[in-house]
Amino acid sequence: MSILELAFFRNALVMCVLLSLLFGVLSFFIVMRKMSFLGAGIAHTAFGGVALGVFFGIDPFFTSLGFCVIVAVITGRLVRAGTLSYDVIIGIFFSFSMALGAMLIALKKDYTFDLMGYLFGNILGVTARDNVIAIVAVLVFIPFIAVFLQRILFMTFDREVAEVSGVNTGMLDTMLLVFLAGIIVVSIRMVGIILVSALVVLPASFGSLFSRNYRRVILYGCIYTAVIMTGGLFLSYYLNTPAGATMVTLGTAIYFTGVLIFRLTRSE
Amino acid sequence: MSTPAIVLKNVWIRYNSNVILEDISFSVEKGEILSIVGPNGSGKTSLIRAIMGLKEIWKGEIRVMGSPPVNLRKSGVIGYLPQGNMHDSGFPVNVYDTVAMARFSGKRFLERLDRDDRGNVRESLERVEMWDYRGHHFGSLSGGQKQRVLIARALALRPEILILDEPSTGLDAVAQDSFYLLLRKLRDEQGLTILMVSHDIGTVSNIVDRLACIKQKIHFHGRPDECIPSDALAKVFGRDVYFVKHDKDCETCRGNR
Repeated sequence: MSILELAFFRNALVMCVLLSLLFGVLSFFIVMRKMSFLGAGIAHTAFGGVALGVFFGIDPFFTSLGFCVIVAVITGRLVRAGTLSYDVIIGIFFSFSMALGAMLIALKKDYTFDLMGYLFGNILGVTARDNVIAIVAVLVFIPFIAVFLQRILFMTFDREVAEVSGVNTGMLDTMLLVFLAGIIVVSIRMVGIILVSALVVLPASFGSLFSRNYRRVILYGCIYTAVIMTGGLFLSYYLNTPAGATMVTLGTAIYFTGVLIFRLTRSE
Repeated sequence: MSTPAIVLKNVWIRYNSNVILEDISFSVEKGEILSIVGPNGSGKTSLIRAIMGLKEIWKGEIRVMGSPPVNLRKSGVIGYLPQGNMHDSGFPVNVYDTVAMARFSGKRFLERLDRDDRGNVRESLERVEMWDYRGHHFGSLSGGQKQRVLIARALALRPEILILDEPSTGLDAVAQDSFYLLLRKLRDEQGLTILMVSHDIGTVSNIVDRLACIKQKIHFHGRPDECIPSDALAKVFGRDVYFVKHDKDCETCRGNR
């Protein structure tokens, strides 16, 4: 029996392709704005959101989505107001959300909670409904980027000048943070809370090694993510290892191979 | 008499509870080059950020082309050149894209760059003599070339006022000279009003029409060839400061070149 005949594997494969597109594009703006730590912070925040859902008997997808979006928007506002810096706020929410999650799950004693699945991903947990949610995310996020690409690029390159020139940086900033939170939550069932931050950082970092043109950096980032996610998925099936962990290990290996090739070709 | 391009009346700015600028009043006439001069930490950058509407003022009033600064967003009235070497040299954009970014800020959601925009980007790059570098990666340019490209980006907005924050930082003497000549040319040919922040009173005094010496308060406001009172210089820069004007037209220096 071919693995493609397995419904859960097909769901996971479709999810990989959709997430490649989402993270390939998102990663560029997060990495170029030096907000990678925010990705890790939002991902860990999701744990508190998931636990809230478990505790109150609500679908954890919606509670984690709501929780992460609220944290992302509050973070953005506090940073823009100059009250606190990203690393301070994320440092606080990071541990608070994990602590809240651990407490709520401990209080809900009779619940069988797939903790490892949420932390490190579980392809068995990816359903057709998750794919529909990911398709909706692609249909909203990609047109948003297509319409605002130049303005976001301007804001990313030179925020104050963009603001003086009439770019609505506050609105674009908030939208990007909402998408960051949403895309992370969509990917958690597949990759896991602990590992998803790698997908925020690696695509653009890899793309930047091979091009100094932003369009190509985004394109290479999407291709790279597709390779590591689908490659990691197949590898995990044959090696019987967790999918998220396999994807991130493969991605890191390919990234450092890329760094080596970049250094060798540059020294020539 | 026409309205000045920029007017500040009794402006106070504070950061948290600390007052960083007190009772600042001056104006910049249209087509004039004015430099705000002062040492590091004197409040120069806060002042220009307030003029651009990026920083709230505590007391007083600012008018740019007769309007409050925040009302001028999207109008393209102000072209801004931030402090040099603030940009990530690895950012993957070329010279053309860097300048073209500015043209998108005034566009509607789905509008693309049209012929007029592309012509404007070309004209702006040609004006600063950087058109031949349009395909180059921005981060690979020299400091002086980057400044020219950023000026082109500001010009692409077709602004009436150009605001520059320490534009000569990181430039060698030749690049500085060439950059300041470009500013004068832009003023003379396009009638641009230029407001510039600098800590180098000696160099900017050659190209500006007026100086405003600031350190928390305004200590001198006038033409650079006026005798700046020594106590004003001492208040702004500390004691034992002598103002040496580098006069390129100096008759006695010519023989030594």
